[in-house]
Amino acid sequence: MIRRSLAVALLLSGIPAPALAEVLTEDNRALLCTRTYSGRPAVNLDTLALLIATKADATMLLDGANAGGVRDGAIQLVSMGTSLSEPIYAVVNAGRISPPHANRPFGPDIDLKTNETAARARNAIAQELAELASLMETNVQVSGSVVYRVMRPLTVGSRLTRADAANPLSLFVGAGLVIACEVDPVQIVDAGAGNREQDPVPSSGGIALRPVLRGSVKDLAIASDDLKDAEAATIAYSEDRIAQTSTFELDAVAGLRIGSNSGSFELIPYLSYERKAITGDDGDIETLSPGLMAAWHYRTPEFGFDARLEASFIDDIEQRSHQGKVRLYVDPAIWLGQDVGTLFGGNLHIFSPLLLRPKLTLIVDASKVWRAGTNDELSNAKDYWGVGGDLSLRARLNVGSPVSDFVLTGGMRYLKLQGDIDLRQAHRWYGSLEFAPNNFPFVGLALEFNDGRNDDTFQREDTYSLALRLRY
Amino acid sequence: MGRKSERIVSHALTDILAEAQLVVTIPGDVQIRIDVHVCLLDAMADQFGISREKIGAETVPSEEPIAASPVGWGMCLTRFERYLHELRPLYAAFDHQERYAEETLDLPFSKTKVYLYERLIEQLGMVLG
Repeated sequence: MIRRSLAVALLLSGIPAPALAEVLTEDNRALLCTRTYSGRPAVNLDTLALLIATKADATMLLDGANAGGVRDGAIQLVSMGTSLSEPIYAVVNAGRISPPHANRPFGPDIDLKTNETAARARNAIAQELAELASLMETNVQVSGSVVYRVMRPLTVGSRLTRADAANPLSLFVGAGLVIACEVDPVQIVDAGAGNREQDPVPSSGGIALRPVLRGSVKDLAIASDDLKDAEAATIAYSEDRIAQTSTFELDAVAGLRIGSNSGSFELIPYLSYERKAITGDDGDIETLSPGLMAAWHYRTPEFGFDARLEASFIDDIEQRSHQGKVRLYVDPAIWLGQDVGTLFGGNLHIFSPLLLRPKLTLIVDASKVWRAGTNDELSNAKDYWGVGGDLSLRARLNVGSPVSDFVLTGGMRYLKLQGDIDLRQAHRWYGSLEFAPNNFPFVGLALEFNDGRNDDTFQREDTYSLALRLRY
Repeated sequence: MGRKSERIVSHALTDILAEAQLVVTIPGDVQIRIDVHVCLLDAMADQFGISREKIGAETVPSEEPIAASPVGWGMCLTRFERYLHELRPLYAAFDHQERYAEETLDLPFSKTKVYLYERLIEQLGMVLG
């Protein structure tokens, strides 16, 4: 709709098609590239302004009517110190919002409200200025064997700023803009390729359905795009030669994310399965837990959180116990300022090149035990609740692959328990060193340990294992 | 019939642009792309404490050096929304949706800005229509 209306608006206003590409051309190189910058040929801004004005059919309006537009009886085409040339003066003022009477682009006597030719020329120049600002974004324009490369934008730094975008007219004022002329296009074209805009990504509309596979219920609402942030479904095997035991573990949660149109609310039905089979010792675990999770997101630039409410039925097949649980998980994040970044929202750049990424999940848990079975920890338990959290720190060295593909993670989950249960607290330390290639994060290989109580059954675990991690 | 509605829309657009005093942005499209680019660049740099120079066309929010969490990236795009609103009155109608964050968390910067440009145009179109 808007595309169509923009086209119609352009048609009605008589603005010509974008023409900057017709100015920065191979043919115009000899005319344009008469300035030097660091020993290299660069675009002369007086000439650029003149060509822009010419393409905008404003040549006849450059009659020297502006202040300083005529010197020694001739129209000034070259800027002298603070005295702008006639074309630059016109171009700069053509883009200004409501310039004062004395600064009208084509002289004080040409009113753009009544002079249609002047108004059309002004609009065409404005279009070309916007294109010029666009060139600042891509940095490179290639025409035949000539490459026009923006060397220096109008403000400090090498990137266009919001202030520049708000006022691209100042491109011609002062020494802010330098466009170098180069004649070796091959490497320049490659350098520019990365900046070229690609096809837009289609937006999903309506209800979105996405299957997910995770290692933990609390990570079901994490987008598939951020796989490294999610606890992975795990198949692991470990062997204790001293105790002569071996352990096979399988830990997976499969869910279906059903998202609202805005994405701020989600429902996720899921099935969680945990299996730990120990040969030569006790402590087997097997639970099957269907559940339903509702996720809600809140965001401001300074504070945000993901909240997830989960209801599940836990069938401990090994110990023949049945529990119902309602859990609330909250992942907060707080902005600490431009120099530090966002705590719990991404990497903290404090000890470069070491990237530290803390993560916090607050947990409130209410449970009802229908059948304790042979689970000693639940033998006297009926209704109980817990409050606590899961705090972890991920570290990675930002020195490039393959070193950067190793991620060290350590953390602790703690839950203070209240109500009809003998156990007063349950905590678990965990850590891992994982290798997951950055360009293929679906599979990872990890050395990991767990020391503490199982999140659901509270059985003690103390395992060191080599794990294959799968994410989707 | 169709022609008549096109004219109404175009007048609405002209009115809004005039109201916003956007002489430079009469052509619209190019300037809006630039505005999205600079607002997103600033939002990412400010939100994650990273230099603007380190954000390139291939920078992916969920990957190094940013490694944004879903919450962090969502916060960043609300900052982007704020910067757009501050830049021009024309963008007052833009309302960030959380699904934008989810759908761009793993996209490079060059694709993200095109995605957000498309959403911005969509929303302005809704207002104009």
